Amino acid sequence: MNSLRKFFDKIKPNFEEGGKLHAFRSLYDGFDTFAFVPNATAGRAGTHVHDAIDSKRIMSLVVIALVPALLFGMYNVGYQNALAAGQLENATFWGMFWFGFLAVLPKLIVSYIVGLGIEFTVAQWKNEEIHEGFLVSGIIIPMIVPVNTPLWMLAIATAFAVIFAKEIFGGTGMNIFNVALITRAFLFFSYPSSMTGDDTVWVAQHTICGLGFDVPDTFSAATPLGEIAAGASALSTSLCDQVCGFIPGSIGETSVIAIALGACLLLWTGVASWKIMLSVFVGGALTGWLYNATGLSPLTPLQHIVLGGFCFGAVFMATDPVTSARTEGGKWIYGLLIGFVAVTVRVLNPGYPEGMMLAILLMNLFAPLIDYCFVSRNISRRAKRANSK
Amino acid sequence: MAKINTNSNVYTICYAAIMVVLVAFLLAFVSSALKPAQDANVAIDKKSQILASLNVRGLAKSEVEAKYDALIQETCVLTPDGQVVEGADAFEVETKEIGDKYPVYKAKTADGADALVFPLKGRGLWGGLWGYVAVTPDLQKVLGAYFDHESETAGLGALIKEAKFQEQFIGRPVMGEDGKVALTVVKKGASETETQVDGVTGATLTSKGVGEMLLTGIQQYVDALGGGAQPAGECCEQAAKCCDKPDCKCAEKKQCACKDGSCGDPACNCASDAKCCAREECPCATCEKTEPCAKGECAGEAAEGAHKCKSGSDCCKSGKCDKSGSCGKPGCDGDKACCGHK
Amino acid sequence: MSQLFSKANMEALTNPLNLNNPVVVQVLGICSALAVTAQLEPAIVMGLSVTIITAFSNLIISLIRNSIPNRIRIIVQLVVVAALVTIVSQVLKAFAYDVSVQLSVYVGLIITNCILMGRLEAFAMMNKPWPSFLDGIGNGIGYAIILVIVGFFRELLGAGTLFGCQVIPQWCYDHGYVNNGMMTMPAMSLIIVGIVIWAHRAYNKDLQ
Repeated sequence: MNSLRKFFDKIKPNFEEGGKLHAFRSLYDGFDTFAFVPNATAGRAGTHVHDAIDSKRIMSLVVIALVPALLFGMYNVGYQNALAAGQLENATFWGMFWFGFLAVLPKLIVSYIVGLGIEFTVAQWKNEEIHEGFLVSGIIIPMIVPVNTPLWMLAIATAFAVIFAKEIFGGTGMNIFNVALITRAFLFFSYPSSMTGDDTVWVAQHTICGLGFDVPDTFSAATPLGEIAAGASALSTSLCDQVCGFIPGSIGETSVIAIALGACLLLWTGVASWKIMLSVFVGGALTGWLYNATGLSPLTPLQHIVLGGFCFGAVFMATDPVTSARTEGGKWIYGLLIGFVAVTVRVLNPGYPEGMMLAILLMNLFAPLIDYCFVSRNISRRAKRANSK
Repeated sequence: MAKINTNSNVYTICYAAIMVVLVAFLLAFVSSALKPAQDANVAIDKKSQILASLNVRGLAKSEVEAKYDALIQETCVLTPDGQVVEGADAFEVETKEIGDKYPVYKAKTADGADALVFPLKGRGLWGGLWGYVAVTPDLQKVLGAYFDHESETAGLGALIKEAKFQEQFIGRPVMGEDGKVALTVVKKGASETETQVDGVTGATLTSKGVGEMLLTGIQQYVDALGGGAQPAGECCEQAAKCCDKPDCKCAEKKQCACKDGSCGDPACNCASDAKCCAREECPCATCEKTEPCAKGECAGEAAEGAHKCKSGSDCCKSGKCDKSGSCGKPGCDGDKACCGHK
Repeated sequence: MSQLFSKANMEALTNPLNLNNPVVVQVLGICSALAVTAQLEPAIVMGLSVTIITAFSNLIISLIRNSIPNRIRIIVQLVVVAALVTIVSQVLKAFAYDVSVQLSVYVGLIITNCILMGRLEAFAMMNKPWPSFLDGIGNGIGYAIILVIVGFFRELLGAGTLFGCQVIPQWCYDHGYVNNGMMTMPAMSLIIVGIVIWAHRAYNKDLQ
């Protein structure tokens, strides 16, 4: 660690005013503050509340929380490939994992290079410090797309989301919409056949570097929600598989257990709001129960929560501190409505089997309004209290 | 000249009245002057859609009319029970009326084959669908198809309008093994028989809508052409089930779709063809599904002599004839099915 | 002649093309810009229709501006616009049927295009016929330019065609290129209009 610090100190002069690499100072600054907590402290003027961890440390925690789901996603990519090829008995654990690793890694790299590239460019251009916001978005993006998404689509969508959902609003901390979800929404509406079409997108079909198996062209596997949307009355996978995550789906969203591990970390460290998380699940379960009881949906409330991107969205994206509601009461409303809208879209919209993305984006839009209502209520309540004295 | 007070009430009212009258006349004039050209455009649009189902695509507007006249030989409008509507023009039947009326076009395809064109209507994911299907006169094979939509998703469901999707239908069989219409659309890669056409990738529900439209729509035409008590005019001569009707002069009896023997054959096996029993030339003794009519279903003395078919409907039709009526014999009161039994 | 194309008159014509563009500066007429720009051809027809209607409604209103009773002037303007729109819509149906099907209700909705009423109230009611006519042409073309720009990108990226002809070569598709479906949706044209405004203001600093 010491040698790294020394290295940073050694190259620092190059990036300072007048140094030959001055043009890349934001890059240096970004890596320096990522590796080491900066020494900068708030000025004496005004009141500042300072916590031991800054936003880069929070981001790192979320990234760590995402790792179980990512690793399991890689394994599941290999597992689904072997299952589709009918070679499950010939496949080894590590073989499947490395296959998935190789399938997911390029997406991760593309997502980070494009996203961070734009962040660095913009920071340089506006002469600002580098924002760290993309650390989390960059790892979430590959996790919420199907494994067969072409890299160029991912690159375009990431660029679109970073520019139009974040930079034009003023960068990290100012965005209205969750950047990763905008990426997915762009892919979903721009290239629908590559995102849900004919159910060949969910399972990797070709060998990578000799790993994995070739799957016949005619093979198709629908996600459980896709099966229901296509009119099936029963699912082809067991509840156990659905909870563990051995089902086709976006890379990181299948395993409830892996997501739960991440959720524990987020809740334990207090990074994510437990109110939002809980209320999303409550909202989804109640709505699922309602539709199930009225016969509109064959899925039980439990299945609604377990399947698709519900858990992933509830744990990692609805709780995004920037785009969610910030008032304590508002968090309950925000979460409940996400759960409600997500299940409603699933059940009532014939075109979209999955509704979590649209639900969170929609509520992102309403979060400021919810906050406004709660803030004005608080103000008027306090005013009343003050007057009554 | 004294300046007129443009703010007075009288002036305002007169001004408004004159302006409205002038504008009304102007618009009426424009509208009536352009009406013929507009109607012609609508007609040409429809004609080019019908021609597309006959595999004539990409015609310039000026050629459509001539080509249509050359290829379409005859049209008729059928009621659901196969009657020909006198004096009705098939071309005038609007898409939304299909279901009450069945317009049929007798035509030749681009390469000169005889065809019947059926207009269809259905529902897609977001809105209505319509289309034209050209089939061979024996209703066994598709010669061409055209589909259009109101508001399907661009880039997905909207692809049903593309020639690439529609040309898949050429040469497909219409009927399944059970003699019912089986032509439909299924998810890409899931087709098992020739009658199942690949749908549009990613547009499951639009594809399903097209499939549904074909299944029910064509079946309705098949029923209308074959199931009526009266001959359905010239059109019916070509129809497969024409032999179901005793008084239809079938030019080509061999095309009849009665799989279990032709109509005139005493060995007609009625097992799979309930309608067979209704025909006098079919000895009902061979009806395998015989069973006495349920009590009360067949009223009157005719019940004793009635056919004892399981389906009951034929039996009861004759059984209910207990009034004197139109066909000159006692026992029929405007009941055509009954008259058929003589 | 020099009177006809005086400096003031030319400004009435050219200002709306750039610095006072009705779409990107005044942000008027956005709804139809979103709806009809999925392809280039209807975008151009729409632009032309609006140009014709703005020009002639400006001309007519300017001619009768002194006789219009003040209390019903908005109604009079609306009647003139509505009559012109109806005529254009009828003519399109008779002579450009395919385009009129694509434009569907949006030709009729030109009546509600804010550019029209804006120009009538702000310009034609207080200027002579000839400058009013030029102002109408200028605003119509200013609107049409933006429609064409948006339509160009939407058709190129959304369908790979321009004026219905394939532009993006087949080998791109063979190598996995896919048309961007979002470009065919109205939402994307809002973003393109946004980009145009962005570029326009970045270039014209004094508008910022």
